[in-house]
Amino acid sequence: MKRLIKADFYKLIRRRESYLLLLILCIESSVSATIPKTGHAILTDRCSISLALVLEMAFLAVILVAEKYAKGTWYAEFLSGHMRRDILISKLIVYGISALFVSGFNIGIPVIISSQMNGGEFPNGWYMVLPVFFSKLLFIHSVMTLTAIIIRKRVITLAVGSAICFSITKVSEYLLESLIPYICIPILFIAGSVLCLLLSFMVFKRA
Amino acid sequence: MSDNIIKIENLIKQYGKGSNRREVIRGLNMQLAKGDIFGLVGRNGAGKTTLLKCIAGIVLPNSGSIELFGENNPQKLYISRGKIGGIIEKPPIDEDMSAWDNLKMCAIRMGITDERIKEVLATVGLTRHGDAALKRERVKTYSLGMKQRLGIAIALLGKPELMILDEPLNGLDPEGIMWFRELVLDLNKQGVSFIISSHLLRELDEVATCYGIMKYGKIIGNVTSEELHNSGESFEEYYKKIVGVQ
Repeated sequence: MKRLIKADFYKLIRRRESYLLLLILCIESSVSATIPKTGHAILTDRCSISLALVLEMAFLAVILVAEKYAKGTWYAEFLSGHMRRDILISKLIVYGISALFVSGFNIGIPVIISSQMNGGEFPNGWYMVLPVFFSKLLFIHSVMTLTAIIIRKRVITLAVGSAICFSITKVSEYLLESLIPYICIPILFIAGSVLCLLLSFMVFKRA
Repeated sequence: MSDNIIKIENLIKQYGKGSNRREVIRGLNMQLAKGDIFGLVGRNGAGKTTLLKCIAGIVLPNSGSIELFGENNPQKLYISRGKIGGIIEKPPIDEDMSAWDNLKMCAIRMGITDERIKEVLATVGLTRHGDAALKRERVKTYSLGMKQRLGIAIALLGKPELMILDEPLNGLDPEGIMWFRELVLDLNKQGVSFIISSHLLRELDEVATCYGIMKYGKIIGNVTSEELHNSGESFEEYYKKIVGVQ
């Protein structure tokens, strides 16, 4: 499985689009950080999922999963002597690590910029807000994977996956997060993620 | 008598559900001995590509058994599939990457060194474009023939014992077709077996040692080149007789 993971990372590193999208994400994060905020608001704001991050996640799902269906090139992986299950697990690992990496930019840049604008003060209560952000990220990761496996087309996966994830996370931000306790939100997103991942394995195994 | 590296019994593959259900492979039986070059022919929609996909593990059959290199446990077939190289429908290429990157990615997946990449690039005749171009130019700028050569290079990377080639002559120019013929015969001398699906009967006739004719998801004709030679019949004539073409 290590080889599969290394090969997928190699692919992401060698694709020019990866850098272009990362640049767009950095610009979006930097621009958003220049809007003055203080204390807790810095992180609360960043824990809302931006459209740029959703698109970056959709792009990763397309490049790692949907593209292989669209081009009919999965067989190269099956013919390299790896189990079908390992192939999907390796993709989920690469996708997960890449998602953490890009979200690091999405959170890190604004926090650093905003903190510097506020005299280097680090926002309070980060431990309350970050679980919400990362559970949402996990949810997007699993929904995008499932969408890519079911739809199997690049552009449609990008559009449908982004639309589903962006609307669910926005509904959560505007409705759910003001109504229910913070602790419940990550639990809901994690439960949704587990469900989507199980469905992904079922669909992928049935080819 | 050589050992069978492929043994398929009562293979059935259906696509769709309910009223949309379509049986593409209908109780197919097939055997391939080590060292054989098996020419698979049949009309469009006969089920050739689906059969190759079942062998490669891309699609899972609804019933029947597939034995590869003596292994028939479906849970362990993935190990045997590591001994197969191939091109099925399209070469497994990422066109947004360079030829070198495509090969490197597959080499990482299979645990193969850069030396082997250089070897296969030389074998398929892509080195004449220069190392720098191979590492820099995206595959999307390549001609169909060059993409096909790159696909064959990827298939050869893992030193396969069996090559599955679906329409391998697509996009190859006359020189490329001659090169391909020599490559197949040369690899076959080294012990590599082949399943070649093609519509070009005369080209197939130049290399194949046995043939299977598919119709409606079944192999309806099975003949060796020796049997054809003894009967004085060409493969084209045999094909017409079996399929019922006037």
